[in-house]
Amino acid sequence: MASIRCVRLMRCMQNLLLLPRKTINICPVFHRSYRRGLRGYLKELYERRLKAGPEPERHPSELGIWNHDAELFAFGKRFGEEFDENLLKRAFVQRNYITKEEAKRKELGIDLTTVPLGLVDNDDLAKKGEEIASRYVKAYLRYSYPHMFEEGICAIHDFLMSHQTLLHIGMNIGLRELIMSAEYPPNEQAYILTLKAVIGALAVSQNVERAEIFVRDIIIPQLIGKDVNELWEVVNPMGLLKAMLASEGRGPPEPRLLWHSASATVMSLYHVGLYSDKQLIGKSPGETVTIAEEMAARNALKNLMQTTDSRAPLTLGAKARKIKLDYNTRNRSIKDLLNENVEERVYGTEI
Amino acid sequence: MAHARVLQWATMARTWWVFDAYRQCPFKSSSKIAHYLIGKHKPIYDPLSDIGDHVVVINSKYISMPNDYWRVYKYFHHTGYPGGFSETAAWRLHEVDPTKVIEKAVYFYLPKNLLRRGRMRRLHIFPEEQVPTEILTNVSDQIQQVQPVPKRLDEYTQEEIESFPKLFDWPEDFILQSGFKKAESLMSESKKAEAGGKKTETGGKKAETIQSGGKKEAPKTGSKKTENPQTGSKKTENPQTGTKKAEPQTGTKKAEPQIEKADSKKTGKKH
Repeated sequence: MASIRCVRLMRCMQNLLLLPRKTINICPVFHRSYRRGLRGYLKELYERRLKAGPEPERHPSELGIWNHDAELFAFGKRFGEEFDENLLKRAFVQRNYITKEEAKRKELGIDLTTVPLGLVDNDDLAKKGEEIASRYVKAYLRYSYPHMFEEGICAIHDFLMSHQTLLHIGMNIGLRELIMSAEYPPNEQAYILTLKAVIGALAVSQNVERAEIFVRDIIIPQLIGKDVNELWEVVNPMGLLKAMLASEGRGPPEPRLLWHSASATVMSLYHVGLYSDKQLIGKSPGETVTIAEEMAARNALKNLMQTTDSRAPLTLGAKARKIKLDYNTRNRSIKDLLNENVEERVYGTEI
Repeated sequence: MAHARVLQWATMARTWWVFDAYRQCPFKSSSKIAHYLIGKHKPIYDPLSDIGDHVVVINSKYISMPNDYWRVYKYFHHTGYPGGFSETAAWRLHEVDPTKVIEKAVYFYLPKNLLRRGRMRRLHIFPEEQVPTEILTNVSDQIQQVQPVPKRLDEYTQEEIESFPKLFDWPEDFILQSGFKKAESLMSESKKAEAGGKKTETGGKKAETIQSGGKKEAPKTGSKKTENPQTGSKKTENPQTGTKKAEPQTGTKKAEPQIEKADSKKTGKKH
């Protein structure tokens, strides 16, 4: 019978060998004698495992049962989409996988011209998918933030289509085992390309609208909980604010100290308000007067662009089916603004 | 993330408040001050979080104790040795350190936990209105006083006193003897001319009482003659042996306005 210390060792072994619990029976089983050698045996196993290192990650197909076609079908059904079987299959094929297979065949002496491999990589689909996603994201953002500058829209778009965001999505929608790549687990680029290719495959299989709904449901929600104003970095908010007010024919912003506390301590706090034509257009707290003034300018910009913290949430889900997007019209850009009032160019150089 | 940062900064910042303790009850004031020191006025209040504000108390020398607490209210101490017990009246403690009464009251009102001392460190008490500049610059708001500041009689102008509604006028030859000073002052002002050598008699049953009635005694019926104010400035005690309290007079309430008027002429501090 195994002693308690022995049980602990066996637990270690289980974790290390990634074995199911039943493999090593730690339940007290009757034996004729004390198994005096068990502890040493397990210890030896343990040390060998440490020496050999962890088990390499292997594709489930290497472990036995893997039906690629069934998994692909299930993948489409999980999203509730009807994919063309071949297109979806192609969406997962990476270029390095084809190269690897060709090399393998060449090694075996198989002539590729007579017996072609019959595989096409997902580059075309990915390119198509990226185009659709990018176009839709921009149109959607312009619809959601109609008063935001085009530069801001582009910044949010860049965030949504960035390597990091797409990788996060790709790694969490079950692409890992389906990707046909030279290595397993697939590299980061493979995830991103495949995600885009799936969008492209959906567009070809059904139509572009369907692919856009996919984009809206999968990519746009990454904005939830993000401050869109922080995604766009405005270098000189006060300059931009002056130009905006001037273009609207309003007076220049005038900062005023609304409230302050603990001024003589390191924990000082100042609230600065910006007034234009005696109207409060923005206010913000800050550690110093300078910081508070800059943050008040950003707050005023948010108010003018209608992207305040209290704005309505994004239109998603069932409500989003009704919206009609305009793909051609762009929002007003800062360049347009500066061209409108040439005399305000002074500020424009700093923006 | 600058926006989130400044918002958090503003949320967690400690505000400095000023509280004017002039003629305020120290106990009522303390519960209010403790409220701010703990941070109970904040939406982020939590009993275990150190989020209280600073409070600057001014004019602690001029607090008003309720009733006769200056005399009755006692502060106890025991050194731990046999016979080491001592008790100090509030007036005595206030005499020694005019910030102590309010400090002890706030300390009493604060929750008895590990945050108590830290909260007390955020209480700044000053006996007078003079506050160091480095403390005063931090202050951004004031805490409302707990009770209205009463106006002393000497703070009223003569016009206000004269325009105070009166129900009746005292007769010319009437002497208020609610204590010798009063009679003296009245005599000295209004009857100076004719008082010389004239013996005045107290008004017997018409004798007044004043607000602090307990101490005052009604004069005895016509037995005592007041001294000549011109000759004797210092008053002697009433030699009458009987110290009976005045019988409740029906005209007492009516007499009050008039008495105040008489008081005003003294323009002396009561305390």
